[in-house]
Amino acid sequence: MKKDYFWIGLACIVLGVFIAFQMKFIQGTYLNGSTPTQKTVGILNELAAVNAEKEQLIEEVSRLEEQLDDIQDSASDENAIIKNLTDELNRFKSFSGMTRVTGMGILITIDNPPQDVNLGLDKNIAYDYKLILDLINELNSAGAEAISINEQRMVNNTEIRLAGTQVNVNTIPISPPFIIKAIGNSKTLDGALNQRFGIVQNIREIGYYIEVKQAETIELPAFNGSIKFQYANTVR
Amino acid sequence: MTNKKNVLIFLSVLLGIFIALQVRLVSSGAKYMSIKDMYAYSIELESQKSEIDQLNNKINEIKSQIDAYQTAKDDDGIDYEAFLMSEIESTRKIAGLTDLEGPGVIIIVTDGTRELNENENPNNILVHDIDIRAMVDDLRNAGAEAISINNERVVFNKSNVQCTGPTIKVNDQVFAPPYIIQAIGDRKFLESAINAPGSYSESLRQWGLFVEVNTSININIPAYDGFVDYQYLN
Repeated sequence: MKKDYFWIGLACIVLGVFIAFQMKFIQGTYLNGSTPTQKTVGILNELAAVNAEKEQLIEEVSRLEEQLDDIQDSASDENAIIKNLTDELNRFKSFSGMTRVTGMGILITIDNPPQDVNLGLDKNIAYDYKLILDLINELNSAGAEAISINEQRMVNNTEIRLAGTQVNVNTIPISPPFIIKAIGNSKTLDGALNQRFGIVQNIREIGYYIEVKQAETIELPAFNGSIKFQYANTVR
Repeated sequence: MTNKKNVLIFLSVLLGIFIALQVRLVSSGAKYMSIKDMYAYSIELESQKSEIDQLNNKINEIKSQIDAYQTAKDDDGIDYEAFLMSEIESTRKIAGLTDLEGPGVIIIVTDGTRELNENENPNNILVHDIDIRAMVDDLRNAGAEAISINNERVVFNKSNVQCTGPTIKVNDQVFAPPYIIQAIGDRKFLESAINAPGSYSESLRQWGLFVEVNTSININIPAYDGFVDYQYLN
């Protein structure tokens, strides 16, 4: 009888140590030392503040862009050659993805499936980022003229890259749901993706949520990063 | 009996403390959030912050552009037309419409020559369009400034790398193996993007495909020659 108590006591001590370890670990890795409730309030406040700041910056960008346009317009009023040159510049700018654009297109939403509690497996589309590469390629071959993922415009240097549990696009980490917008003939784009045994069916069969919607007008942001050439020189 | 009563009293006090804590927690506006949600929020926070950095850079860039245009316009010493021409030139460069040269890497990819195992699918040792796409993505991630496949410039919004049976189509030109990918950028970064363990090319090598990287101090990459005006963009 006494021996039983000894073992129960020992088991309690071991359990206590484990619980303490677990608490410490969670606090150290996810909460940076603060209690859960403090962290929750802090993170939500910070997120709201950061969102507000972002909105403000986007507004400032469009204000400055208007200012730049005004300068260019007033210069092109002076003579026709300058007007032609400015038009030419704007054509190349829109080709390289440096301008905000609108047009007919499609909207694709990709998300992780709800977590399967029984299996305890987390399916994360970020790990299958090659499917997104495939999807972008299908869009390109169906004649898409501009593509963006979660408000990041695709340009020549855009990478789509697994980093931890999220994906980096234009070096900005983004996480599911991925909202891909493409401008082009919406019927062609939709048809190319939804072809039998096509990319949408493929992604769906692997178990992710994907939805394609045609849209009459869709707006894509300009590329916000900067492209600087350090190594490549123009051949004359 | 008194022992049991004591336990009961102790538990009641404990319950009272818990209820008080809970009430305080709710009234202070704190919400319950699972560890997983919290992790998702912190990732979003990180992503928003890097977007803010990006926007700040962009604002500085536009400001300096406004200055440049304004001075070019007001100052009689600067020819506004010539200034516009140079702007057009740099935009063409960004758009991938100029021939480029610079240091970089040359990558040769071709089908594997090893014997197939019994009942093995021959696709295992063939180069596919996805392989090329993933390698181009790896190169972009390593900071490649310009990329070509068999001397066809890869431009994001127009180039598609498509499987067409035994061949691969790039910019509507059809190519058979070997595929030669050239990229301009930091030679060390680009080379390690292909050779590093865990890179896509490393897994290709393990399947038995032939992948070779050579660095070069001068690589020529042609301009993308299919420039057209967009139909649907405004």
